[in-house]
Amino acid sequence: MTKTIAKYNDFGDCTPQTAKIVDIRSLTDNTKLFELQFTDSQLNERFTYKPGQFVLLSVFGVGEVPISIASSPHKKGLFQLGIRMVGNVTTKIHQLKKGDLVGIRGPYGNGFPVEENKGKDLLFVAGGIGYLPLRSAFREAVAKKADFGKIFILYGDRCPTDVLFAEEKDEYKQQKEIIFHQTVDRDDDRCWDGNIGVVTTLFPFIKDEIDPANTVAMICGPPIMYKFVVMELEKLKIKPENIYLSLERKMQCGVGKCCHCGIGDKFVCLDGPVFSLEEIQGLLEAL
Amino acid sequence: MYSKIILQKDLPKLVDELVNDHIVVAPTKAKNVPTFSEVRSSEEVEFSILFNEKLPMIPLKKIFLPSQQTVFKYSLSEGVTESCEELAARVAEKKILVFGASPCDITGVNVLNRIFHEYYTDALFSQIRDRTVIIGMNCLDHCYENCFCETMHSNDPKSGYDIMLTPISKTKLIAVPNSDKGKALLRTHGEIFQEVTTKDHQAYLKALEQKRLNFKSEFPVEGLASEIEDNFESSVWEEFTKKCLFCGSCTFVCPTCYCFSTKDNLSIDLKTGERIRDWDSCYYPEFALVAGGHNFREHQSQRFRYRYLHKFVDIPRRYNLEGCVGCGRCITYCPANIDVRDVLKMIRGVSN
Ligand code: SF4
Ligand code: SF4
Ligand code: FES
Repeated sequence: MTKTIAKYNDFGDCTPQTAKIVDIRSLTDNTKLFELQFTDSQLNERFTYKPGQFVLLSVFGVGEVPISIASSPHKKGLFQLGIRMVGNVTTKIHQLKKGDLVGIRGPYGNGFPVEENKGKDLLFVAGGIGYLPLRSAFREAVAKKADFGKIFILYGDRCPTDVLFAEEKDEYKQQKEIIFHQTVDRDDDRCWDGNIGVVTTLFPFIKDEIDPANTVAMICGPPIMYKFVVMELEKLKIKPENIYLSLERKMQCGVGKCCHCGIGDKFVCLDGPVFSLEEIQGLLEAL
Repeated sequence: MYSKIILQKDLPKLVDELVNDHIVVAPTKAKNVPTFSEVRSSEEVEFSILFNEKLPMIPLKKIFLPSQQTVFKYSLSEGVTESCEELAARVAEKKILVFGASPCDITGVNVLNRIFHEYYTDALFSQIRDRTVIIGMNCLDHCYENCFCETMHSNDPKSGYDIMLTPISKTKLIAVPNSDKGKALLRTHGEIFQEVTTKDHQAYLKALEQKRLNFKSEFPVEGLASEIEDNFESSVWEEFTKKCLFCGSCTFVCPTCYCFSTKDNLSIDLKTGERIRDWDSCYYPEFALVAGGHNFREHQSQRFRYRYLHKFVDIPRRYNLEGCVGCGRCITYCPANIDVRDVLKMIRGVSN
């Protein structure tokens, strides 16, 4: 399958657009959800994106990092970025306040193929902060439930305090089309009453319900997670062309110039970040 | 006939005319290092470099992708204050003229030009490139022992320059235009040039024939990409990794290495600043290191190998271009005596 890269806007390549932080919500100790709006109001109308696409966020004076868009594309006029404190830029943005300015380039990348897989069962496997981009993808499917089969969500975190949007769990559990399972790697404080273990320990719960011929899987999580999740999906006999992985790499330019995100002849920023397993199986250094 | 003849002794005169309405960039020997830099008169030009004494250490890419460049400016209270496009327009206000680019360097710029226009146009690169006239100086033989341009098909670029100067005798060169800009330039400076006689033309053809005979390919590049891929796990990478100092010199002097990183420089007022982009090197450990600590090329051997994969596998596949022009600079300037040709030969040796 040859993929054409869709260019989603004409916002310019090197210079960010100025955006204002309009709201900040704390999700966990180290993760906040920032709601942003461009200062040029026309841009807010034109800013459209797909779940799984990312922006390059500039914190002026510190630098720029790629961040997946966490909000649902249907929300017009503003968008959200869920940001965990891991490096200089993400630590600095945690110190910013409502009304402060940041820079935004993008959206870049291809996003998750949700629309493209109508009629299928969808299996989402998320690890850690990877839950945010996947959440925007599965919420799109949940919003149009009738168009899809079953929606499986497997979500793993390191520890209970890292769990994102814990309150939404009940909402998912009430809907029979949604099969939601959650786990944490460790529970040192003994405050978790669910499954304990890495995300692959959730597969036994769903394995009998999976129809491999009609299931499309989408994965997003820390780099070490992929190999193990792919092994589980292969055990379930889901075909490589139906397994989509959102890959993380260092990014500087976001537009196929700086080479930091290269995997073989692909650029994660341009050709990804979402790749089918089929596409990357032959790529050296991909997983 | 559009082509013209210029006497070698008149080249300085030409440069002195060109500096009037161009920023002229030519080979110089500032601080004793052969390099390309802006010249204000012919006296600063090192003409011996032009006649193939040596390639300038830093290739022509530095004109279009400077080692450090401002991408945009901002203030903390207003956000972006000057965009990349605005800066680019300012940088390229005056016409730039490159005098004496070697064919392999022109090919190198062509590679970058393609990459910086593919899909997203890089405003900084493209504005500078569009405003630049390139006068090439043809090579009729390998310029030194590290040159393997014939192998990499880089010594006869079909485009990417406006005039090519080819020596046809000890005293004469033929100036062959390759664009409208080139033709216009020959017209504007018509007094310095002479018409091409039948004898000159024959001498030119002879020079080209000599060029064809002089250049020799050292190894076939056909099949190189898949052979390297097949030897992805070869112990040869490890052997060279042990020798390599990971200084990055080979990447900085390379005409087709273009990786960069960005960083923010905040002014001392702490209120305004600029985003800078700097040349980077895939040989440095931070190159594939993400916030959070995961390094996608953690081992030195992965970093050593990547440069070869990128040049000889990935660029050819993605852009249908050679990712190396065979200029030999990485060989000349490697403190550990690593020769790209040896690496390739040894990697291929394993598969034979
Ligand atoms: S890899 Fe070496 S020989 Fe090839 S273009 Fe770069 S510097 Fe020149
Ligand atoms: S110049 Fe030589 S020693 Fe330095 S990084 Fe390149 S190959 Fe290694
Ligand atoms: S981030 Fe620069 S090439 Fe992808």
